[in-house]
Amino acid sequence: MRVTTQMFWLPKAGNSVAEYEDAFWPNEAADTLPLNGFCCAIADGATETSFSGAWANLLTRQWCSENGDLAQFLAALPTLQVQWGSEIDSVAMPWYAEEKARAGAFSSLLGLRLFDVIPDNDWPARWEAVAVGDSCLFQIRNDIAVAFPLSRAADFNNSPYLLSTVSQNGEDASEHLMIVGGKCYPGDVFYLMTDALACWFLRRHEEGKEIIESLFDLDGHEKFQRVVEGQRAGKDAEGQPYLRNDDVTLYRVEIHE
Amino acid sequence: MPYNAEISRGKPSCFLFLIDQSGSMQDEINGRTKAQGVADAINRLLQNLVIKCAKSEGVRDYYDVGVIGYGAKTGPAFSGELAGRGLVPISGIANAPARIEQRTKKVDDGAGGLVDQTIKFPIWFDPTANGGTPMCEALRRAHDTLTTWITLNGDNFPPVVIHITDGESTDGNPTEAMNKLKSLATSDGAILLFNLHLSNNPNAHTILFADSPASLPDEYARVLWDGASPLTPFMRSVAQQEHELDLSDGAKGFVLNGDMVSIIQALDIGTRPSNLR
Repeated sequence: MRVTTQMFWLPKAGNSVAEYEDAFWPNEAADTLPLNGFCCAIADGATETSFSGAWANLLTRQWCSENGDLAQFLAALPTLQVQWGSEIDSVAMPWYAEEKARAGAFSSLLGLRLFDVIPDNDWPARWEAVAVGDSCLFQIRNDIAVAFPLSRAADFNNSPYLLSTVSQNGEDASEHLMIVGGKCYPGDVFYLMTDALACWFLRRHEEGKEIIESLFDLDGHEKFQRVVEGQRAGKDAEGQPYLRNDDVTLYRVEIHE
Repeated sequence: MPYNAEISRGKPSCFLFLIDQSGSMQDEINGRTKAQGVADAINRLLQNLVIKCAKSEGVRDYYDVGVIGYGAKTGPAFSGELAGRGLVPISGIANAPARIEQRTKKVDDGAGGLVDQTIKFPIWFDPTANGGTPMCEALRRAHDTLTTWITLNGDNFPPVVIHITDGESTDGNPTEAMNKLKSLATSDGAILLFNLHLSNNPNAHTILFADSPASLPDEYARVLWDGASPLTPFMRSVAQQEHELDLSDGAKGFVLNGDMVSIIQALDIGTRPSNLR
């Protein structure tokens, strides 16, 4: 079995591309990759911290370089924290940037990996996902088959636990990891989305809109940009935008025979 | 009025601090003069605001910030390079503290213990305690300053005014001036007025964000409670989630005789109008 991948992203309106603080890896679309051992990740660097885009980048790349092995990824976290510190230490900073950097950077992480299973089984492949924070995975088979780790638009709030570059009271990040897995079949599509997009997707789905179809139709950056800008501009009955103005990332993984 | 406008560099909001600098601010609270405690709280708040707006590329101008002092004289109260200036973009605050002091604070050592860490403590505002309490004049000055700001920023999240006083106006009852100030509005809502009252009344116990005037000790506190704006839903959620204060829908931006911890807490809640985007 094989997979096809595509990724779409945009910074929040009013920000430059350089100010985009989500991350995803691998960062090049692929037509046909072997399913077995496929691994990808997205992350959302927290707006209120600095150098969080760099941290989100480190996390997604590390997840993939460990092939989604959770134990190895967790073991590598302290080294990643040091690496982040070295990267920003090389930058000359005024007093406020120093103080801000001292508080550390924070990011969500959502990783997916896929496996073939033994031949002649009635289900040909399985998947596993790990999440910290509110970036979400959706498995689509006609409708939403799995929504993880959040499954309702009302579940999103502004203070999820996030992976940090600084140790917090000796807290163990593994206690905040959420893990899920299941079967997958040819025709299944996985969407990985950072929080604003995931919240919008669930909300529009709850409202009965044909939102899944609109994502299937995405065929390039321009169309994604049109959808995002339209949904940011559209307002609900309370005057709130359908899609909150935030960095958005959509990673699509399609399963094929 | 929804209070849900996005705060961004293109659509900044505004904080204006009105600080009582009358002679009675020389009285002590928690072993320091009220004036010194308030100055520390304001400097710390400005530092936190700057850090909150700092990103890797510099400080983003999410806010314009001003400090008006009133006592022997009424007017802009920044020290140093910013002296005499009214509202200043937060990047201008970041780059022009009057001086930077070194202070020590205890921080988590990552292994369950605490270690001393030397931190930079920038100073923009120095304690002053002298003269009468021309509260009405200060409120009028705030009205003038924010009228101009609203003309330029009519669709933005409205300004938050945080007024710290020991409460006894010497130029008349401030009710009308407070109401006039609160009548200013952007399309997103009216100005939000916080009154933090450091009362001299021996019967004044600590009251945080009261939703009724029932237990207020005197007329001075009642006037300031009446004048305070209700907290926005987002401020109430910050109070609950980050300060464990369970507040009712009617909770007002009024604190009576809080110690410096609750004053700082109130400043934190009052300066969190909504999420930065």
